[in-house]
Amino acid sequence: MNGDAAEKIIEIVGLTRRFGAKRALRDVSLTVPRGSVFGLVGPNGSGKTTLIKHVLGLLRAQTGSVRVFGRDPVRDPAGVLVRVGCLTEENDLPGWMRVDELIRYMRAFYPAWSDAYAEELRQAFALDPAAKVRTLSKGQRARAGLLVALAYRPDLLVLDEPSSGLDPLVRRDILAAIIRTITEDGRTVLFSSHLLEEVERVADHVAMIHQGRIVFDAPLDEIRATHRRLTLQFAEARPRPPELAGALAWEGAGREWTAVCAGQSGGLRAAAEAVGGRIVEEQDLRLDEIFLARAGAVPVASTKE
Amino acid sequence: MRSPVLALAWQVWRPYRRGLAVCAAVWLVLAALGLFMPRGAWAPAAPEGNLIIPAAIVVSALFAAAFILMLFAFSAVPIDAQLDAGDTGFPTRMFTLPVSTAVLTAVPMVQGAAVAALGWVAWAGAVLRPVGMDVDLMWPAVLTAALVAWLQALVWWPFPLRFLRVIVVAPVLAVIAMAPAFALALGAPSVAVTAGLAALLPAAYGVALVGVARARRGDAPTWTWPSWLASALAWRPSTRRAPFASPLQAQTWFEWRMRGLSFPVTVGLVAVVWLLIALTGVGEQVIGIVAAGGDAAGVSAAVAAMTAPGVLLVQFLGIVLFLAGVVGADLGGVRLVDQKPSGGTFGCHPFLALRPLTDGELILAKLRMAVRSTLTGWSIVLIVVFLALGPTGKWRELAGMPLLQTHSALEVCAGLSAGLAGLVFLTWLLLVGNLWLGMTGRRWLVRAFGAFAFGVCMALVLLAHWLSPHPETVAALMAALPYVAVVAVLLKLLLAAWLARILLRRGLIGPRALGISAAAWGVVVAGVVALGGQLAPVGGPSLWRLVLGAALVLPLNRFAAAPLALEWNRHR
Amino acid sequence: MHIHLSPNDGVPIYLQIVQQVKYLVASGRLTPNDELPPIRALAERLLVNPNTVGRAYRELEAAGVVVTRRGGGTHVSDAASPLARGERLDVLTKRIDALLAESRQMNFSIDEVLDLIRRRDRAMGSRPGKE
Repeated sequence: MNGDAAEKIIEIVGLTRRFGAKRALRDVSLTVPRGSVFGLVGPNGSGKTTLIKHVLGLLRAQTGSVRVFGRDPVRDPAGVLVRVGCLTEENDLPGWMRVDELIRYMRAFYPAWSDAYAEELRQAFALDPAAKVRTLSKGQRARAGLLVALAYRPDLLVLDEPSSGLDPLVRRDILAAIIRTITEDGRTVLFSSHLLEEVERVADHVAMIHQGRIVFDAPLDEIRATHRRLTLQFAEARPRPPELAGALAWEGAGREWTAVCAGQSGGLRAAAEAVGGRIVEEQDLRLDEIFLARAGAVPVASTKE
Repeated sequence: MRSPVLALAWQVWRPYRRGLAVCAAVWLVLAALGLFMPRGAWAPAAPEGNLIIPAAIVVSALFAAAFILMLFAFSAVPIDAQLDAGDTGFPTRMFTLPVSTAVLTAVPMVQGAAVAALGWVAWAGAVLRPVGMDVDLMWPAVLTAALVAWLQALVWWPFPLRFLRVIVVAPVLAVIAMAPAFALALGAPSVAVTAGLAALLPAAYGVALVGVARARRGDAPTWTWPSWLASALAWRPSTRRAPFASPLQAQTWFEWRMRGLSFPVTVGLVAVVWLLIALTGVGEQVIGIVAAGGDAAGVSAAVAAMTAPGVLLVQFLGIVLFLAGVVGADLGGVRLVDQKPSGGTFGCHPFLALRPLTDGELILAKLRMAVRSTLTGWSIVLIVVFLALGPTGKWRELAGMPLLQTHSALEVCAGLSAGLAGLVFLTWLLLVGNLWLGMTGRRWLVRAFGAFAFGVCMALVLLAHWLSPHPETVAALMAALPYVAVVAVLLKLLLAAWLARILLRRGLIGPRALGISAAAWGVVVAGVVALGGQLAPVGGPSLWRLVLGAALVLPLNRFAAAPLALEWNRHR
Repeated sequence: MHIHLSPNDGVPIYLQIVQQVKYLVASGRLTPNDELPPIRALAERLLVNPNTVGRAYRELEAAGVVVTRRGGGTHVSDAASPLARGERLDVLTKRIDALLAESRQMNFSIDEVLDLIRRRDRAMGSRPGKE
């Protein structure tokens, strides 16, 4: 990682978004540094797609600001989008276009388009140039979308749940595209996904959104280091789990209670002892376990404010 | 909801309850007005000739009827179903409901036919009859019901080829719509006509039942090109074609493929029909009958001035312009890049929104596409006119027009070319004039604007009727008109300046492009004024009246508003 | 060099890479001075973030299992590098503790355990280097 201040590719400050009475995003602030693979996770309806639409300029910031490459994507869509490659969940390519027409159309917009690379991708993805997009299977359509998003080597690759509903072969292609992007200097990836083991593999920064708020936003190593599963054993059986600062989710019964906790190891140990429990087991957590604990832990606040 | 029939009926009615409520409200208002007016207050002042008010009410009734027709014909069909697709228009998600196909088809059809028939009865009974128009209640009601039923049946039938449905629907509906008029003119009793139309209803149900059953079984055949034909129209890889020189060219190509052919194809279809009418002389016979019958004095005068082929020609050109206006209503669409809209939203499709183009460039691409579309359409028109007038020698009759005798051949040629250029330009204006509306991407705005436009037309018609027996008021208004026009032009220019300021401030358009556009508008106004001055007969409107007129009529703010509308839509 | 990652068992990916490389070296499938694939290539092959691979390589280097040469390339180090011996002893002690805890719980005597260890060593084949 760069030692000196990495350039902020995406900078979101204080973003709020309402749809009617519903608040989709509440005071969200996020920074995506150059060269990182930034994973955005969150339950359905938490605001991930809304956030990504703000980054792409499809939505206007109601409060706060969004800057991509230092520019406002709403004010300057041409200048921003020419450096961004995008693959969304719906991936609506016009069905009537043939693959070769699609390539010919898209390459006119991006000066950095590389014909050789596009052809290499097309052959790797086995896309028939004469086939119309609407005759392609879902996976092939995703590959076509990936092709036109990668062929000009964008500085920022934005993927909104790219793997949803796709078979493992296509998912592997998408992951490979992310890795290949990141191995070339200076390029950044922002992607949102439900497949947390994929996020865990490729992301180095992860942010979780829940009900429009950022729950955590940190390098993946830090997240894994600060979340642990502790099993506490008590002297006598307890009907309810004790109050433990930093505990997100409890389960268990009687004398042994297991909690997913957030916090530094030493502090957790002290807190556990303070409530009279003995730590018998301590485990690392996977990202999806952290996610479940976090998503379940936040109380369901009223969305109408 | 205890029975499946009720549940189905509720499902069909529910998405359109607001539209139906609006229609019912309009009907109530007009009925109430009719009640409170003394009987015959709106009756025509003169026995024949002044048909404006009843015509206005008939128009509004037709408007409402058309709306209901559209509602219920598509009631069991998503409102975005494309007529030009081959597969069934029946919502396939309803196929898995545990009801028999007979019930599934019957419920929407009965609802549609019933609403159409009741709609007519309500209009005729409560609005038209009190005004003094003695219209039949029975056969038009059954006619509208039959039209709705047949439209539903044809929309639901799965056609093997893509555009086959469009080709079948138009003639069938046209025949059904015109048959009663012919029958009545030929003297059939209205009871017989009603009975005949009523027989169409079960026929429609039968067709619909077979169609929906086939679609439900998945039995619908699809025809494809035979392989020899497919390879003859061989695909040439696009990559061997020259790459686009600029993003603007690529986007123009895209718009052309999406919407460019709608105007030429529509014109072409109408042109073929017109050509048949002109070549077989049917049109002239009809004109002759109408002129001889002493109906609306205008026709015989027109024939005298322009000769029968001339009247036909003018009608055709008028239809072309009308079609341009109709097609232009959707030209600004940024909603669809394909048959299906994206996620059901009405706004800008993400594929278009994510192009690295400014809003101005997106609009420019549409304008360029409209130019190509106009030229293609007019080439078809010119070919058809040539075919109609040339080989048959009708052009000689046309050349005998009294108007042409007073000018030299050169003047005639110049006038014709100028006229043609003007018509082509007018077509282009009609195609692109309402871009801004489609680009706002707000469904409520589009509908509100449609209702507003309709209301303005109605108000003008009412005003005209109210004024016609008072010539002195008319004269006073005409004298005041120039001053009103000056104020209007000033307002228009002020609005244009304000819009320009907003455009510049938001960076949607560069100052140079803005200057060029403003200059272009000025040049066009000057050109129209010069042309008008040349073509107008002596003693016509003075120069500055021409200027005012041109400045008012030529759209300026609609163009200026287009980038703003698109920006409003693209970034929500 | 074959590395198999299993994302589900809670062990961080870099640690899995470290452990597997260590296993490969231990079992002789990677001999001293064999070259490890470059970070980017391995990342693309395993579909993981290059930083993760980089971290694994750094850990391996800190543990003395691999050596980064000037001019690029990461190579398996000589087994008898004295710098890392203490570190290696630590790792081994931890594994032995775990093994002993389990064997006690399963009621195996220490002689049975040692016997088993010798049998497995024979089955694994000859050891690289001395001892």
